[in-house]
Amino acid sequence: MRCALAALVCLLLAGSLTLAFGDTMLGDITIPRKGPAASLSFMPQAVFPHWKHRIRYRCFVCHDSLFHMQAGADDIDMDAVRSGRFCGKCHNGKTAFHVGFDTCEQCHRAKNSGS
Amino acid sequence: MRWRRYLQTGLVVILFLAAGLGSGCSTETRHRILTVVFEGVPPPGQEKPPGPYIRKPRRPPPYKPPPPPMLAVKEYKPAFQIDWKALLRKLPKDAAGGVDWVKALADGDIHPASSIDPDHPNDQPVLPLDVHLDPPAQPLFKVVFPHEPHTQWLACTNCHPKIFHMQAGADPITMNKIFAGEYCGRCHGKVAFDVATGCPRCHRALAGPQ
Repeated sequence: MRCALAALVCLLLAGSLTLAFGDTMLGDITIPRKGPAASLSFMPQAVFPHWKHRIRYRCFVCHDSLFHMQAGADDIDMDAVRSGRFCGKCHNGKTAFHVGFDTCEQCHRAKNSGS
Repeated sequence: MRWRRYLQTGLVVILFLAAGLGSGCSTETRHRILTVVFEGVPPPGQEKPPGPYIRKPRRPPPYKPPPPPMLAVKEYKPAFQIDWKALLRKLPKDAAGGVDWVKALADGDIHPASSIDPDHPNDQPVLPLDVHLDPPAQPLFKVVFPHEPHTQWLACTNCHPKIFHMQAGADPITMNKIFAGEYCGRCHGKVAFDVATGCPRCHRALAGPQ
């Protein structure tokens, strides 16, 4: 029982520390790179922060019409996003910030979540 | 006609002197003397000037702005700035320190939209149905699945019938399968609250009598 309590306390501490430092949040998805983009090293991979989107939209707005409920199940690339699919459905400069050379770091950052 | 002779002799002497200056002196002396009379005499060792002599302008030329770069990338300035950290601090937290989304929705801290287009909401029905999942001979691990908070976020088709059959007890759900990302583990532990929140959130009997 004491052991279980200690484990629980450890878990709580770890959870609160994670939140306090804000490096990663539950639900952050690093978009996997496929094909020729896999060798790109100059730009960090895009990280999708679920929590920022949950504040604004319910799950069923995007699932499963825009995205499968499985990380990596959709072939998301910048061409698709720019042509209005996947993230580009909202990130078009009207509903949410546009996708361009001035907004790369909004998604492509090594640590995304807390800020 | 004597004065004319003197003049001729004087001219010849001056010419000789000039020729002597031009060829006979050392280069330093020649440069020094020539600089007094002429402008733009090249210093010794650099007899051929690199180009035409250009005078310095009497006043500085007017400022010309540098040409714009070929690819103009402006700094991104959002129309409105969201202080995500402050927003995150304001949201209610669960036992593991994560955001308690169900409580945030119930308390009115957040108002998530039901469609991308605000003019055409796509509200889904909220189902107030509790499903009791009783593992045989393990009354402590009985789970009460509340449809209500789930249907506030999800549509029926998100789970049914791909992840769960629409029949209580029809799916062989185990904790191992959940940890492997099946059934509840499709969302819980990835986006929704994880096991660090504590067992009693699902296994309510473990919290003791209430």
